[in-house]
Amino acid sequence: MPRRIDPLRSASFRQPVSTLAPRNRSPLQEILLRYGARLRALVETHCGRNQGLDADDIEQEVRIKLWKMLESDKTLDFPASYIHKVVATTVIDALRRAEIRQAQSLEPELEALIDPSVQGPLSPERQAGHRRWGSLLLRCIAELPERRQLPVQLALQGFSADEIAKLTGCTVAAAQQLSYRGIEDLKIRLKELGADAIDE
Amino acid sequence: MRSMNDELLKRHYRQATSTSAADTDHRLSAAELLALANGQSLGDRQLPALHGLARSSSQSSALQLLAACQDWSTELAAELHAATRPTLVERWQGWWQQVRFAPALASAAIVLMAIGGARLMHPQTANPPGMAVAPAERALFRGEFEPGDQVFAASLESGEAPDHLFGGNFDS
Repeated sequence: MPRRIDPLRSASFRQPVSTLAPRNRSPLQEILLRYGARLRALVETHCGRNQGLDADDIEQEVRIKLWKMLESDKTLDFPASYIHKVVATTVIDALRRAEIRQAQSLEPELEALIDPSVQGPLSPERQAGHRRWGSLLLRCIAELPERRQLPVQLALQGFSADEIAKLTGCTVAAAQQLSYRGIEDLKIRLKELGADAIDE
Repeated sequence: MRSMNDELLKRHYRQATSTSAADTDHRLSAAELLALANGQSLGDRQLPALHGLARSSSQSSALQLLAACQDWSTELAAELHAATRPTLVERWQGWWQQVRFAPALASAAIVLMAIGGARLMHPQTANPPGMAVAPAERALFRGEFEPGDQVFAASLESGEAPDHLFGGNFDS
């Protein structure tokens, strides 16, 4: 027989972690809080503030969704795939919201003051520098041999050679060689075009 | 101004691709990202999905996060399962609550207990007549043959009267 969950405790569960006294937490809450801290660290590492995401928000949203399921489903037997899916939908929803916010934002200075997760505005000189860098980079990637373009782009997005190999279906050695040589060619071409001289 | 290195290139590329993938063909759903994080192929959608990752730093970040969350999900599921698994007493109580309103089961249990009690109190009547133990040493046919035994033992001795059946011509 599954253990009963005290609904009063679930109300307190929605409070910020710091305000919950340890004696008021159930064992399940303890587990979710402990794993929530780990999730927060993972979100900060992989989808930090440069993506417009707040790790605290993601962690709290995932924790509340799981807690609601624990309350409603008395059998309480979650497969790992279900938990993984909860994280995926929460992160994707947050990213889409951030994209919409970015697209609709007319006053970034004001938004940065209201929401600290939004990056503050760059100076006009730095913005111009970033734009020049970006356009040069995209242009040079487009000039690379076609078979090198995708591995180079994925490597620049932070994927390892092993991950690129799994995604593209080639060997790890091929992924490593294509991305390495492509990036070296890219550096040479960027120097030729004067990217070194661009002030950030 | 900085010298060009891999980290600088990555940072600029991710900034240049921070806006969303505009066309729907390159937008990945949560299910597609999960499948890729689990090492599955998307079939016909694989190549557009890879281009979507290449052109969108937010989608790439989401995939990297989901790949990193696999162990986290497995460990959390195991801990929740262990924390919510009922103890032996709780399982027995749950079973009893389920069956206590079933009169048929209850009456069957009473009958079984009565039979068991009767057998314990009178063990000698428990054996049905058909099960009576046969005598240990009893054989239908028993014979001991010794080397000298014969089924038909006969002898014709010399000097006896000649046979009448063959007119005295029978010679043994």
